[in-house]
Amino acid sequence: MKKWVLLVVVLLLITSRGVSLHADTDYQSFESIEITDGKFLKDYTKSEYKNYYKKVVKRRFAGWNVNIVHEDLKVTYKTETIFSYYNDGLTAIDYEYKFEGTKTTSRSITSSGQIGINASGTVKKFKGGLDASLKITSTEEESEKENETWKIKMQIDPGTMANLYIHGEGKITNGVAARYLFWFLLEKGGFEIFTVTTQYYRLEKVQV
Amino acid sequence: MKKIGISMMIILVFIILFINLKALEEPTSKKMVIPQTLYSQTTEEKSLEVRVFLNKSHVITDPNAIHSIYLANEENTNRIKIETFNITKGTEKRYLKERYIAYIYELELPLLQMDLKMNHCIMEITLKNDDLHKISIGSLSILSYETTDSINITNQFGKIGDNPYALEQITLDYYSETPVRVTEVFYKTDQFVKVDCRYDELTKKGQILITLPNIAMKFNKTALRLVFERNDVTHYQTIHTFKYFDSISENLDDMNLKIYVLN
Repeated sequence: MKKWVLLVVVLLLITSRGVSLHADTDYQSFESIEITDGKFLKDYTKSEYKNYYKKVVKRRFAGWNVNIVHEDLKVTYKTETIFSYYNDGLTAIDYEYKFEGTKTTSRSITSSGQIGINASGTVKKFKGGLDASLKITSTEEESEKENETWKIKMQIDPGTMANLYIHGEGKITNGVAARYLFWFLLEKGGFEIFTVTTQYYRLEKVQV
Repeated sequence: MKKIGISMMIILVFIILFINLKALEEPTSKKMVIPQTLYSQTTEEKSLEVRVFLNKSHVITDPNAIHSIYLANEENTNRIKIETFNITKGTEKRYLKERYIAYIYELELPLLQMDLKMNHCIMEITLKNDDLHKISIGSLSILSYETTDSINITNQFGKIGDNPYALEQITLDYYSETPVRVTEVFYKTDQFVKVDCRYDELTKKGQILITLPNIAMKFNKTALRLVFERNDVTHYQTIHTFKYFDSISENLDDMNLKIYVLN
């Protein structure tokens, strides 16, 4: 009887696995993001996936097999222009811009294949405990910027536009993983973690 | 009935063990951690933001419990009374495996019309119960600001070095109606850095590369004062405070810190 119950549970677990593509595209909404070496998860080819999966298909009793393909690759990014102000007058003006930063998590995650993302809460996590297998520390998960306000004062000449940009640096780790339970494959796919390390501010004035 | 008794006994033993272990643990002291940084700004800014971190709550962060706040130099020859202040709670940081909450003291400064410097600045907080807390916050430099349009900064940005909290270099692109030669840049009232200009001769347009000295106090924003020659006369121009970067780190480990144990 116990064997039958166990079999039914295993079958239920296998049939209830996800099949759709999940993606948290926070960092992909940046104006531009560049990687100096290596590849983003979205750029993996089918043959690369096939090759990387070879290291995670060894069956196990329970848990994740992980193949980290790229670890802590340095990336640079540029977000949208924070403000633009044009002086269409005839004299130079003193302008004060009040910058109001919003709460931003420093880490965003992306997945492909059957690996899911738990989108509830402020900090997004991979489903099925992949975070723990990847040894993502809680400090990174919970790192958030508090609300802050700072004033930027500047003098803007006539016919000049002042622009404030944000650009920064971060690191990318990606690879493939497969999850097993009772030696059955439950989920398989790609994962990617993007962590912001530094955010730079740049003030530029251009004549229009 | 016997089984329930045994289970209860096991639970009881675990509870006693837990209580004993807790009693053996050394109680964590109340600590205040203060990053020692350079507060460099101009007289145009009416307030100063000081960030402190506490591992446990303390009345020192309650505005209603504070009688007065002063900023003073180490020798106590220069003192500023803070008439108005506000304290807000920030995010958590980690330091030596402990969690600390940030408290931001927003101190309204009196109207200043000349440069002010405190190489070693102490924030003196007197509580309503007469407890006095003298807290080192780093270095304070306030540059007097005068409106001038001699040199127009058209591009301003910075970069960090190996330390995630330390500003290493600032780049300024400038434009001037009449040719100038920038010779020095001050980033605090009594310290200057020789600039590495791309143009040695008098020029209307140029780029100034400011390599900041490797000092113990790490900072991410600063005011600047340019010293430049025009028609063989030396001029000064103060540039507004600008924040060059934010380091997104949960740890305070890389900062230069002062730690106070509070009662």
